[in-house]
Amino acid sequence: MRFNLQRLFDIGMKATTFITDAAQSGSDVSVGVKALTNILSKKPDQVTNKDLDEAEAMLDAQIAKFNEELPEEK
Amino acid sequence: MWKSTKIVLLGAALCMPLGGCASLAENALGLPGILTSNVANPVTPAVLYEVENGASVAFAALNTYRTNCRNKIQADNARRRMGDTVPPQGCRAIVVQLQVYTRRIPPLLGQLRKFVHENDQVNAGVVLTQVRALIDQFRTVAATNGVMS
Repeated sequence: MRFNLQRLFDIGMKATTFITDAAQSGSDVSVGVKALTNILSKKPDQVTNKDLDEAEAMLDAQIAKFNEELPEEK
Repeated sequence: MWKSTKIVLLGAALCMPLGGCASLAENALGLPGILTSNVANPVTPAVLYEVENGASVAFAALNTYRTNCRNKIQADNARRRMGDTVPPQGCRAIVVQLQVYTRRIPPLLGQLRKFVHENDQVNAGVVLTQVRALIDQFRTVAATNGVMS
C-alpha cells in the first residue's frame, strides 16, 4: 500500500492545531480531546495512581456538570 | 464551533458503548478488554482508566449539547421577557430524560473504584456491567433523539 505522505502530514498538522486550540479553550471539547488522548497515549503498565485520580476527577466534573438543572423556560 | 462539536461527537460515537474506546485502544495497544470482564480480563486499574476516559469523552459530547441547549433557553427567555412568543426548546426535555440515567452513574462509579482498588474482581465485574447497562440506556435515548448517533 502506498501512502500520500504530504496528505498525511497535512492531516497531522491540522489535527495538532485543532487539539492545541481545543486544549487551550477550556471547553467541553477540550475535555473530550484530552480523554481520547489519555486512552491512546497510555499503555496499561504506564497508568499511575495519579493518572487514575486525574481521570476520575475529570469524569466526576463532567458528570456533575451534565447533571445540573437546566434553567426553566419562562 | 460545529467543527469542534463534530470531533467530540465522532469520539463519542466511537466510545459511547463505553467499551468503544477501550476496544480502539485494545486493537492499537493490545490492552485487555473491558466488555467481557472475567478472570482472563480482570477489571484492573488500567481498565478502569480506560472506562473513566471513555465515559469522559461521552460526557464531553453530552455537555456540548447541554451547553448549546442552555444558551438557546436563555436566549428564548430573554425574548419572552421582551414580549415575544417563543415555543419551548425540545432539547430541555431530552436533557432531563438523559439525566434520569446519568444521575444514577456517580454512586456506581464510586463502588466500581472501591472494588478495583481492593481488587475485588467479582464485585468490580458486576458493577462495571451495571455501569455499562446505564450507559447503553442513555446512549439509546441520546441516539433516538438525535443527540448523537
